[in-house]
Amino acid sequence: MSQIVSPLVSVIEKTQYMGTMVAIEEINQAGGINGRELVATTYDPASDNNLFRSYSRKMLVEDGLSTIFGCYSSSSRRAVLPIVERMNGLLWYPTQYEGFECSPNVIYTGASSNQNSVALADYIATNFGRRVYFVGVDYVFPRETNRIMRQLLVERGCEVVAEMYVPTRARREDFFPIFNDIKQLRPDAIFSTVVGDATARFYQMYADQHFSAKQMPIFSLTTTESENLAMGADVAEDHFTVAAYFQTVESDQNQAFVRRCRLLYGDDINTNVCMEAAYYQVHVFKKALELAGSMDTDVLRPALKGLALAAPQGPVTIHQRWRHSNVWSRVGRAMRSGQFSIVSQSRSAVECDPFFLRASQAS
Amino acid sequence: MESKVLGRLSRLSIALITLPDSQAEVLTRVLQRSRAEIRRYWPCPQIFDTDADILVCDFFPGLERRLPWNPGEAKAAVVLVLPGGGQPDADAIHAALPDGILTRPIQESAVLPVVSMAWDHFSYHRRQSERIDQLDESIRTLREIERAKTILMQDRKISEANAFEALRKEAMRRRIKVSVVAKTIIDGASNDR
Repeated sequence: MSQIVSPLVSVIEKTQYMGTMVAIEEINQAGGINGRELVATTYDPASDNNLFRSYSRKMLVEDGLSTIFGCYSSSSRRAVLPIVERMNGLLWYPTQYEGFECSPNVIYTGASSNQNSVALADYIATNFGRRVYFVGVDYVFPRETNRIMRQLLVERGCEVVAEMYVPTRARREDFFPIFNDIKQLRPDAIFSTVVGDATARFYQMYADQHFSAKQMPIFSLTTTESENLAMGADVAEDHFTVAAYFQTVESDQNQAFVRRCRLLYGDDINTNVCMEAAYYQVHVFKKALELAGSMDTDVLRPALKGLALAAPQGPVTIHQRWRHSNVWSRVGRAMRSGQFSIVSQSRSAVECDPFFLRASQAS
Repeated sequence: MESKVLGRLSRLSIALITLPDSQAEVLTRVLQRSRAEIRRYWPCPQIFDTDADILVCDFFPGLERRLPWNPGEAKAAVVLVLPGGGQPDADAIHAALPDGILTRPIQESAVLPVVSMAWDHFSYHRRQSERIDQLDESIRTLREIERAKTILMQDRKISEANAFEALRKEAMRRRIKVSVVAKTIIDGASNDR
């Protein structure tokens, strides 16, 4: 088995790597899979899509591996996709993403758009004003997510007052025109698809501009506990994130997960949705491998269909048709501690619908 | 490290449709090393109906008419065994749409690489076809929902959002997919005209 990460440049990707390693450690301590130890081969593509391509090829061709855990951004997933499909490997992708994809060679264990964007649009429309401002970094995930969010918000009577993008490696000065724009337009809420290391910069500058999170909060699908700590919990306070998992989820599985993470990485470590998905997907892989008895993708793939697991976020299932996880949907408001107070959540895991065939009109 | 190629072949069944001569013995012996399930047939039936994953078959003109599928809908990978000597008829070979080719006299070292590559190309093509079918179905479904919404909007003089809500509620009430409700509405509208 193998793992692709670029932990040196990204707060969130490092936690994704940690989640994977916690699960591997846990499984090995319990005797491995069918008595065999899991050994991870790890590469760091440093957020460079060309390296994602060359390392995935190396894993599948030269290293003789067939299963890859990793990729955070949609652009890295898309970089790896043709190689994994041609070599018939299996990529386990734990990030929530924009949907509208279903490869036979990818298992999607993060939320797709119908599982979190709908809840986010509902929450904004019900609890805040009607005027929403979009800010994102300029690549596939923000563009696609904004396309969907715009339609969901308009359906709920909201207005998107502007849609602005900054470069993927945004600097402070890239945000100044946006803050000037926000001051002029005075929206009721901000929807941010700023991801990665630029997230902390964006929120910190937002606070520096004296925008009030209570009056004009930022909503995000990607700002986790880890970003909250990176930006400073006082900066994050009262902004919102919609995700399948927060560390504050109350369940025995979650308590055990947090305890294991701290045993391996120290008491200061905080979990987040990416870490949790990276963790539970290794356990799904374990269950499938125990059933199938083979790492061959053609044998492993059928064993995954409908497979259920008690994850830290709650019970999850791999969808029979789409090979996406049915995951939970939760709205969290950041607290002064950097953790999220869950203000709304689904009653059970939300069925995935990556092409929005069922859940809404966002097509 | 165990060979991924041999590991993959070991789970497959191979139909060997060749003249039972010494060359067929060589082929059988080499293929058996892969631990695949080998089934031998001769003569080639008029329609070769099989559930084997790979057909390794002596080539003869008109072979394509004996395969139980239409071009583009193959159910197994096809490896042709060409006769030695003479000029092969490229058009006749192409008509059988092979995934791999072996030539008599059989070169033992070529057999497993050719057969495994044939399986690899065939299964990749099949996975991609399934993905395209799924995308096609999704697009069709979206189109049907759009058409049904338009019909409801015109018939009931309601907004797009309300039309979708009506579809969704009906699907929930009847516990069926929204796309099925949409298709019923489209069919009903067609019958009314």
